[in-house]
Amino acid sequence: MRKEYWRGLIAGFTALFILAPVALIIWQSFLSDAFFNSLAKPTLEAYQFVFEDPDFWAALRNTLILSCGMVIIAVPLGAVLAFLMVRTDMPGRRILEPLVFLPLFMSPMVLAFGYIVAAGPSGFFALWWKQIFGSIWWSVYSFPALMTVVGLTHIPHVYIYVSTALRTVPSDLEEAARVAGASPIKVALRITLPLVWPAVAISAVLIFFLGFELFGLPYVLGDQDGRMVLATYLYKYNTLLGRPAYQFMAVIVICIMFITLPLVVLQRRMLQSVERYSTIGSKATRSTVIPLGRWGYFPCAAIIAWLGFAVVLPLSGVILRSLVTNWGPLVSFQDVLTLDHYRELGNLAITSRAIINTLIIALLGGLASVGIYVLIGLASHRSKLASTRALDFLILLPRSMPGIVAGLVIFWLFLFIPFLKPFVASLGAMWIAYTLVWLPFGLRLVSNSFAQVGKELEEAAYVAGAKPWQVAKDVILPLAKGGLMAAWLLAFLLYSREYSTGIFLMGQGNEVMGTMLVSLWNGGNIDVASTLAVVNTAIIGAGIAIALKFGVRLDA
Amino acid sequence: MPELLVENIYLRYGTVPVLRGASFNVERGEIAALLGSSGSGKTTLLRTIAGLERAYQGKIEISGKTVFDGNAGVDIPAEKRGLGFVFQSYALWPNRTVYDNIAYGLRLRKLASAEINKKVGNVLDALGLEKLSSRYPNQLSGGQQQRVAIARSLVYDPAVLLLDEPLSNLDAKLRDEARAFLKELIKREERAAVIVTHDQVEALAVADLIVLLNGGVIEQSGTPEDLYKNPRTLFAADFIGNNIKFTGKIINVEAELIVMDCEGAIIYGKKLSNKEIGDEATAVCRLDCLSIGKTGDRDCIEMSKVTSMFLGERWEHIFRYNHLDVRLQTADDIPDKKAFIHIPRDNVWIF
Amino acid sequence: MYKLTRRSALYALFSATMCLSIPTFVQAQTAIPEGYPDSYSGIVAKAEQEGSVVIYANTENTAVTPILDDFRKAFPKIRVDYIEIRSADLYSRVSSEAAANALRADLVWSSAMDLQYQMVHEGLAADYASPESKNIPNWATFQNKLYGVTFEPVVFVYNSKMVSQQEMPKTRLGLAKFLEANSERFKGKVTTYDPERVGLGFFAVSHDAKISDDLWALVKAFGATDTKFYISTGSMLEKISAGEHAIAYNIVGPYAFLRAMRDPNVKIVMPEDYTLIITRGAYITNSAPHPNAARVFLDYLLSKRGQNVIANEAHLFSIRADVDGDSTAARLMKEYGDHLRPVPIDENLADDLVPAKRLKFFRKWDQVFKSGQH
Repeated sequence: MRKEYWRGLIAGFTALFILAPVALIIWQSFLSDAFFNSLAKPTLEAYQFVFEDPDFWAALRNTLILSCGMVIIAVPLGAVLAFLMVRTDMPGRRILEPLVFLPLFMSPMVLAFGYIVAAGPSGFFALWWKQIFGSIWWSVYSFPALMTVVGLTHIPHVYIYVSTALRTVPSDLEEAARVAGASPIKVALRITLPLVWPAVAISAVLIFFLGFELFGLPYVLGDQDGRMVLATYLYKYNTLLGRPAYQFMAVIVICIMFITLPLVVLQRRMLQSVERYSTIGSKATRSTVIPLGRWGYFPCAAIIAWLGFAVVLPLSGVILRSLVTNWGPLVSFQDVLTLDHYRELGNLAITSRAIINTLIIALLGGLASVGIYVLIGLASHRSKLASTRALDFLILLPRSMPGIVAGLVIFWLFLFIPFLKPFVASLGAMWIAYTLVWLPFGLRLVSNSFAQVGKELEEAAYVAGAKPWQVAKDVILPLAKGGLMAAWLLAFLLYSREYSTGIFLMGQGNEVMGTMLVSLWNGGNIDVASTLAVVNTAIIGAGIAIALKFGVRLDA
Repeated sequence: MPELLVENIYLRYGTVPVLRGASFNVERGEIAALLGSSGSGKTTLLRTIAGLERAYQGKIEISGKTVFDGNAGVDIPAEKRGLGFVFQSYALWPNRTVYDNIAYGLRLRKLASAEINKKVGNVLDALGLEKLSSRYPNQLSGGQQQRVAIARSLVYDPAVLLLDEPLSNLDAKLRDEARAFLKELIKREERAAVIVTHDQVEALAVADLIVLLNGGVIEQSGTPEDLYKNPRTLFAADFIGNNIKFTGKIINVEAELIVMDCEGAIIYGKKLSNKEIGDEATAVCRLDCLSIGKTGDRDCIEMSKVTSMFLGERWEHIFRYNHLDVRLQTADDIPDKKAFIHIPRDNVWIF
Repeated sequence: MYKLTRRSALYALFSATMCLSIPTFVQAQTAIPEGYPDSYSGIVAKAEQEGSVVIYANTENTAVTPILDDFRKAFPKIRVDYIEIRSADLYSRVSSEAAANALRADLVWSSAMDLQYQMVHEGLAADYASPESKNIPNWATFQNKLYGVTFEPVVFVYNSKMVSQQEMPKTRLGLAKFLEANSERFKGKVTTYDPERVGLGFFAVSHDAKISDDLWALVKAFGATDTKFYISTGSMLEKISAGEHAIAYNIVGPYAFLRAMRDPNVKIVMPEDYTLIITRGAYITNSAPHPNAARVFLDYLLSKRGQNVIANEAHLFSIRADVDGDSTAARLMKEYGDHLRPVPIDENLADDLVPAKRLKFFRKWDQVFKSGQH
């Protein structure tokens, strides 16, 4: 039999990569102090303290509600959006296609800030609304508002999975139903939905999971009411007891991990049925569209409204803030418009450094991360080894750690593992942290694009005499190229926005735009913070536009 | 020495047995057809020979070299077996031109580009594909794709060629032409070929050796004539050819002659199994052995006509006695509503 | 009579050249302030050989830029690697690195006085008798290890369009009464740091409580007005500017003053019952890879030149008595002398880090806050 040691080897390394941080966290949770503190003793006190804290249960409850809310909002809407874009003749489809990914552009903190400036009690949009309608019925800081924002901004995630599935499933079944007289809605529900159910279910699990590690949006929007989710509650232990109390942070991470276990099992079950849908073969699937006619304008308008809410509103808030010295009901616009803040940003020495670092880590680091995922993906691809199967269980684990904790743990691993020590405060270490945190999402994308390559295409190569690495190079990778480019683009996007993961790994000259943004914000320099946010968003936008020009499709 | 030797292959998926001891040999210049219905294991057997599936017991030898031996722990991976394989879906790489699809195997073998050019050119000519070499698979018709798939599998001169339902994706007209073309090509190139098919007409037409599979075991193997004229089991008899089939009870046994009562009709036929008086049995007869008889002729049953169909080169009629239906093919129409159908006892097999 | 011989001409030329080069000579020397021991130039020389100084600090990059720029002018051969980390994370980083014998910082400078003290207490700080220590008040230095660099008042901030200058109370008790009396008007419009989630927030109110019970009257008033608790100074000041909030309690001076400079609506109150003064302490690490450069930088921070930049360019409030300007200890002392209550750097700082005491404080805070709600 073909020797497949390499699969086990890669699986082993990946497991190590994932489990080392997890092991450290588990150990820390059972101690009374920092694990490197000589006075630390084994104890269950941390667990006791957390479980006895009503704030913990409140945070857990909030997180569960938030996650469920996200799923309820994002999954159906995302699936419907995918159906509309891929399977119907809704007007404006071509133009809307790239725009659908816009909500991914903005980092959560920028997004939250934008909402406050736009729709907060003193926001310009709110004031304008007040002028017309008399009063505003919403509060940006309320829980429903948070859920709405979080739900609506995660629609693209669902869209990516479901539209990919839709594009690869032939439409003859739907055609048959339509010929038999079924209306578009019936077709969608009875025929299409079951066909793409695995993709929908997987994205639901992922979204639910993303809800658990939400930090930025609740941090900024929930700030004043002290309503905490697990990630912000965890962050409290940095200061609550005086010195940072890692053992409590570890306990909370363990709790999140426990919740991920059933999710992982769930996702695995769903994935097994996804294997059936490999379809890149030599026969192009013909998909015809369901005509909506005039009715198509309604969903089109709804999508535009969604984009307006999810993108235009907060973005305009941020842009506006970057151009004024002050804002609010007591201020008149014309008086305060200025470009000074941009000049100020330009004058700061660290700006160019931060931008360059961000670009390096986002472009090159993103590419390298995708490379790693390709290796791991290939190792698991069509593998019968138990070790690669076990990997499926481990993959979601890194996501149980909110970015801040992940950064801290990787920092510790680098510090306390001798041969890693010299590299601790380097862009390389930051890259490793990013790669680990993004592993579940990115690897899933890469694996999916591999899964779409028909098995027989690989077998044909084997039979022609190709060894496994040649099959990968000549068949799998070229045919999965669309998905890989999409993964790179998404990595670029997400890494550009990152701010929490790299905090401890920053060395001299390592600042990235995200951390610079947080620093400016904390220091009260909101003027420059907003200009930086605009620049950040613009860079991300430029990157995406370039990629789209080159034909990269985020839903390929 | 057979070019391909397959011995006693056992394979299972999990705990489900799929192949339970299949064996056959193919000589140089011979075409073997693995025939059977879906689930019979024929495609699995083919893929096992190629190394795309893994048996747990048995032996496979190609040109005298052992590529699989369950006892000795030999299992050479697919890429080292040097076989040609044509997939049912053709599996042409969509991102490569016809030329590159075919040349891939040669490139892997690190041939010089001049030589690759020559070999690919030869095989393109042999299959009539010269004008298509820079096209992509999605620009080809089904028949063209099939020929490219065949070209790809032949270009590196494999001793054994494996084809998985090569004709099933073609339109009926094309199928007949392709059938003849395939046979001629394989004979001319003197390969050993194994073709998987579910179409018994195709198997009869193309193969030198038919291996009939049923539930993972070989029901019967032999030449087409052999299988057609001397089926050894009910399954074999029924699978091949156009037949009528009756079930009934044995009422008498005299040496090799059996008398059966099928819903009141008395059928005589050759005994081909160990059944006794009183057992349920099945009678099978080839359609082309049936004819219209006269009153008083031996082995005739009077039946009522149900319907007649004009097939172009002949007529087909359906006659009925009680619940027994018989299909009869004649050159001309039979206008009568009733007829005596002659079911000669020498051509009836009773299992 | 002096004969103008060639020899004397040469001599004159030589003297003239010497005279002309003296300014540059003196210029290099003026980086080292007067009164420093002669051996100091040796320290500078070693520092220049070391070539760089690594600083972990929680003062924002943007605030610190003028200081670093001026240091570069004073000591061009010493590169500053400034790494900004928020106070809790700063502590994590320093203690982790120290435990792994990999502490890369030469100087640790942070406004979290309690955590700074803790690190010194854990033995991370090197002993260094700075030549400037006589220019720093006693309460702001600790055992030649920890030196307070700034003199920052903790103030009230308000939006003058929502609260007039006359109305705005100037004492805590006054503020408490004002809020209770106008609880509807200020409902949801008052803000302060969340003591649980902001180290400095807790520090300030904990010392408030030690000084007087007026704090608790104020906390009750917070309850009455549904006060919003924040983590970020920036958020609070932004919302005061925008009019979303009207009054902020216990904001750290420099940020408040910076915002007031940009926004004429934002005004500051130096509390008249007492104004807490905190200081950003700095210490040289025991394991400093560039110990001499660290000393040069620390001394620079404490020198008149450095303090001048701190006061008048970085607006961080200098601590030296002999520096003039708006953001200086000198002016504050002159204008508010008696009210000022500096928090001394001493063993009592460790008190603030005792978990049991903190939890007890939070419980009381919650209780009093809830009692104010209606």
